[in-house]
Amino acid sequence: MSTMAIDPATEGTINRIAVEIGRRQRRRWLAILVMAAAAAAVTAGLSLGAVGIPFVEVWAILSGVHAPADAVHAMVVMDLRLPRVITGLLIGASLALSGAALQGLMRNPLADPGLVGVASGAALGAVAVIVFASAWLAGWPGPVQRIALPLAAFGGGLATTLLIYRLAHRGSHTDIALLLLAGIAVNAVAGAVIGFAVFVSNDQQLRDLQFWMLGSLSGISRDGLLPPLAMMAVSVLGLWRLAGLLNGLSLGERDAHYLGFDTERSKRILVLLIALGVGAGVAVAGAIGFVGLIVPHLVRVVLGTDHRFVMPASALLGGALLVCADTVARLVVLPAELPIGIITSAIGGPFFLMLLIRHRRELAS
Amino acid sequence: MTIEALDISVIRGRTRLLDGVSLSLRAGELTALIGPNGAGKSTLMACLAGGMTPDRGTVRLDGRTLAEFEPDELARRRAVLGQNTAAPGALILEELVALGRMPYRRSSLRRQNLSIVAGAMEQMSVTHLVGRACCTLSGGELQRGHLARTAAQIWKDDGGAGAGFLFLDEPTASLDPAFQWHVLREARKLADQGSGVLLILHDFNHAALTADRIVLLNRGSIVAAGPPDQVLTVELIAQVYGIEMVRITHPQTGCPTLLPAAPGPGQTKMRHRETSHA
Repeated sequence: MSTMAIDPATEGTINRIAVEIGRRQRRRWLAILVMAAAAAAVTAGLSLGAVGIPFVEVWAILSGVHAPADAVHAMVVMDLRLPRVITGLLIGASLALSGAALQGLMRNPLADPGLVGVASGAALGAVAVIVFASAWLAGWPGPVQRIALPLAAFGGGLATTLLIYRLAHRGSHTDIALLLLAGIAVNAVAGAVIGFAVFVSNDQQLRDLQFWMLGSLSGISRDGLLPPLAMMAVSVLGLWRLAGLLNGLSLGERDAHYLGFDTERSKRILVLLIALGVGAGVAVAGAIGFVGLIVPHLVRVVLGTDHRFVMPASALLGGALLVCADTVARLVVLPAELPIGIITSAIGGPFFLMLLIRHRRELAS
Repeated sequence: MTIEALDISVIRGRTRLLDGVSLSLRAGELTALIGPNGAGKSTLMACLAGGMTPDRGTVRLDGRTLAEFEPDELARRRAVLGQNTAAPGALILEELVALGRMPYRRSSLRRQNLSIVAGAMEQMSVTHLVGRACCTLSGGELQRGHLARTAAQIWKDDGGAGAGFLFLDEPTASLDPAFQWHVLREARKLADQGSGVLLILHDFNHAALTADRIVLLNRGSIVAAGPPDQVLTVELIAQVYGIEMVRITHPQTGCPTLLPAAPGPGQTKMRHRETSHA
């Protein structure tokens, strides 16, 4: 390339910018830290529980060199805990990325899939299938039955995302008050429908329903897990790829267009991917709140606003957070289990209050 | 290179924001767009830049309608700075400027983009602000950061400033007089280096001293277009703005210079304009 002449002054500026970028990128050790945290969370998630299995043994089982005497342990790790941990990682990652993407799309730091009603909309779709369509679905082959639930949750999430976006979007900005009020409305409708569903459901359905309201990973089994996991993987990878678009959108939609983004098309893809991730997550584990709010915020405090760093770091931290919360949920009230949503809400509620206090002045205007 | 609007109209409800406007912008030429508030200046700029599609008429860049361009292809040939453009507070200034290189992210090398970002920051005198977050900058500093971003967006690949088209909507707003002239000089320099530049301005004398051509817009139509001494006449300004000006010749450049007339009759004229507008 370099036929271009750079004058010394420009060279000096380049060096200063490079130093500055380097200073920020040295925070990449934090990326390594986050990866280590995710690895530690996975190990802990596989090791701790009603049956404690030492870390070393967990790694031995994972690498396939366990002794025959550990067959029960191997079964616990591979068949019970591994699917749960992988699902937790993906749900955490897709919730965190959906939160970051929603905040970028709405250009508002308080948007969270739970708060603005996307998760409730998805839960509504899922509950509709469990209670009102289960008899009808019974006539269909197994694979159709298994994909119906995540698809319905995706549909509910998509409809809600479109609704709140249309409602809160005025001109070139999004009204946070309208956004949160729309979230309250959607949450109320979802609460009413789910309450009604609880009222009319039989015992089996009641057990299925309980975790929609609180969110839990206890229902996870290998059976039928593949479709929602694939949906979440698509959402995570897709949202990560849109990091550049989210950077452009931070200047506003028209300016993102002037920067060469096909804004209308990209926004549709963004909304689809958010609904896909949240919907699939809700289908598997119910509505788990606040992950999409807490994780991107923590990441931005440390790494800045560039979505090319925010997105992968949020995915890892979100996954780690959810696996940790799930492990705690399995341990605190042995032999029973606490719904994971209680733990994330217990952390997330105060966190949200703290954000409100910090942003009080902007919100009041 | 030319951008050519042919008989474009923009209609919102019953109002014609633009009414049959034809205008062409050429590379190497600086055009100033002036006119009263609500004349349709920003709408015309948005149409010429492809941010808005006119309800009637077409806008062509080198013979192709703007709709035929992929957004990123268009973005490599023109850059736009609107009024009140947002910038997230935590964004670092050089990250803001680097956003201008987004349309090249698949084709350019990192080092090359970095040197263009640095060159654009130098051109707009913001290099001392490297590492500062946007929320810590003053309005003028942020405005110059945005200007550096748009300059970087149409920077030639071989390292020189000045290619493509630059659209700036009131770029001197929120700048002190020194930086107003600095920005106008840089815009002039970009035009001399080969860019086509369209500036929306309110100050007649800014327009007279920097523009090759002035376009006077009123109520969605072009009232006059041509070299400064033909457009900035006391009669046209009185007709469009309803204010009385005195025209003198700049002692150094020979440019027409407009000064407000001594107070008196002008006041009643102003009231007249407001009532006729409603």
